[in-house]
Amino acid sequence: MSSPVIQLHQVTKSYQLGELEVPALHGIDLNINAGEFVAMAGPSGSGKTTLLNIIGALDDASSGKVLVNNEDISLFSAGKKSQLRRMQIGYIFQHYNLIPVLTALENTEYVLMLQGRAKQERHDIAMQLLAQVGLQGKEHHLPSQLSGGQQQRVAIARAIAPEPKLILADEPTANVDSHTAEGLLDLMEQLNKDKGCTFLFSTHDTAVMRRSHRLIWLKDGAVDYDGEPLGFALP
Amino acid sequence: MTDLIRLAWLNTYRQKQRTAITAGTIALCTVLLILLFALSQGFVTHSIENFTASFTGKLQAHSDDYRETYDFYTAIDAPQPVIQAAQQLGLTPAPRSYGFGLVAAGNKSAGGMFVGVDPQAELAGFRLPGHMQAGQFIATQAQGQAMLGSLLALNLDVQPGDELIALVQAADGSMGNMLFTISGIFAPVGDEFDRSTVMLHLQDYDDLFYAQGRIHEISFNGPADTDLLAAKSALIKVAPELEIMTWQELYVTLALMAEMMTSYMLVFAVIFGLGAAIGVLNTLLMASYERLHEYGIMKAIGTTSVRLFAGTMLEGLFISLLGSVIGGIIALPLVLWLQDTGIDISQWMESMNVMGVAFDPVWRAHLTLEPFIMVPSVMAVLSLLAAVYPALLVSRLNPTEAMREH
Ligand SMILES: Nc1ncnc2c1ncn2[C@@H]1O[C@H](COP(=O)(O)OP(=O)(O)O)[C@@H](O)[C@H]1O
Ligand SMILES: [Mg+2]
Repeated sequence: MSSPVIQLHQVTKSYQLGELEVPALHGIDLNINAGEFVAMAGPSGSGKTTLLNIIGALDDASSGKVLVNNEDISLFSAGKKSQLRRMQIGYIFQHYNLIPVLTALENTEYVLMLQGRAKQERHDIAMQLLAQVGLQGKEHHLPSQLSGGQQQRVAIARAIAPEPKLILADEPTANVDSHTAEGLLDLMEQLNKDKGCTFLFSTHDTAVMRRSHRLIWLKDGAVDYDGEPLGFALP
Repeated sequence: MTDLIRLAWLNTYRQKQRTAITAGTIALCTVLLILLFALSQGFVTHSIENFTASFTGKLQAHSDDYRETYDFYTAIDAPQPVIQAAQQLGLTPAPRSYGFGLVAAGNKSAGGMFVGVDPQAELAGFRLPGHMQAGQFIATQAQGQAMLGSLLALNLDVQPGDELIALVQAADGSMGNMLFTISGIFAPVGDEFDRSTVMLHLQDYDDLFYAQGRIHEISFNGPADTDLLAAKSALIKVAPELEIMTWQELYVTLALMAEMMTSYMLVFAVIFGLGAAIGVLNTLLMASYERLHEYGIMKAIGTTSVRLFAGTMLEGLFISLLGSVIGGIIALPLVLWLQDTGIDISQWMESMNVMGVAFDPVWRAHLTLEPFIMVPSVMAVLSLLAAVYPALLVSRLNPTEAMREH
């Protein structure tokens, strides 16, 4: 259980705002292994989203090396990045994750459809996953007919459907109440245990941080703490 | 592929009101264009039918060199086989002979173009015999009767029943002369015709010119939908020594004008279609701005740029097709009604005869498949062109920026 899924070497990122250069990440070194359940926390503006986007091939680092599944993604073409996102990474965003005109079932199938899987196969996978995330009977509901928590469950089902090695989630519980957040965490932990896929999620909710198995604390674009969530004294 | 189409279709329905307005505009343009097209086509086919059915015919046969020289001696040697073949094809053949000479009545004289006809054949296949100003058409039995063009009758100052002296050079070089009774006067057809036509029974013509049965022309009329090229090749097979021509070949400019009508309509369709395209552009641009976050998510989870591009293009196409289908469905009964009932234009036009052959006072549409294919195609092509810009915007979207700001 020690094959690395994510390896970062001296990753920096700065945004160009006209003449101004805004540094967001300063020399991040980080290894995350297969099967880990990692929370990334830190104050607003500390660089959580920036780092997740770089790992998820949605954005380019300014310098440093980013390896996902032992491949240097900074060398990837746009098409190859798109393929990486489609085939190897699952994404859950903060809100409005779903395509509004498609049902819960169709949203869950969506990435499988992009992958070109057979209709029956992807239907079966999606049906089973929706049951697993507790949405049996809601398969044909549109996102607008689901609660925020239910929508995030569909997003989790969609992310997990292709059985990616890595799931990236940017504040997946930010828009739901604490009780619903607990349920989503239970679900993610369950999937992490059952399917063995690696979870890296950002949060600024202490309750969510404590549910992780490893906590990375970012401060001003650098790793400030990396270890047991219980061993960290929250500021 | 079907998933792509389905998603585009669902997105088309998403902002119902906006789609309805754009598709409705396209539908309205489609209806107007189809009606315009069908009415123009009705006018053209009606004019052509008038022209060909009066006297010209749909096809004509001449001896091979006749149309170069109009030489009296260049006649059709054996008219019978081609006449019979034409009858079997459902055409109505009429043999005709031509010659020039002088006509005189009282103390007035004028040059005349003599046309020898078989009255029975003319009556059976053509409308000119019914197009009279005064008197009657020449009798089916030859009895020394002549029909005159209106201007010729005016110049000679004659009425039906008056006598007319004809003086020509006959086939054998001698002077041919005969006395005719004027049976009737044609209503105006066209300047040249009105000024010079002297129509005779073929037998009287033969006597006058000592023509010995020479026929210069056979004109074939037939239903408007006759396949002329097929008929032409069938007639050529029977009479390879003759020159057989369709009316399009005989009157190239007229045929060209009829064909140009489609081009004019295409120009109209493009002008109207540009308006429709702006509607599509607007709809898609608004949609892409509203869905920025959604498209960002789609791209983030691995949707390719090509797929997003194609989806937007399809959406543009669907809006256009939706409008076209609705427009076509509305236009069809209107065209059928305009074809059946037509518009009575007699109240706006003083006389239906001024332009030559009589025009029907009712303007009717002519239903063909052409506008129902052409108009939606033009709309679709222009809508697709209009969709390119929003589709490019969507496909080039940066997912992180799209999600951050929306
Ligand atoms: N597109 C951008 N342009 C300019 N600055 C940005 C942009 N995105 C993020 N930043 C800046 O980078 C830093 C990190 O932001 P972010 O990664 O969003 O932090 P977090 O997700 O932890 O709140 C912040 O200072 C933010 O203002
Ligand atoms: Mg963030």
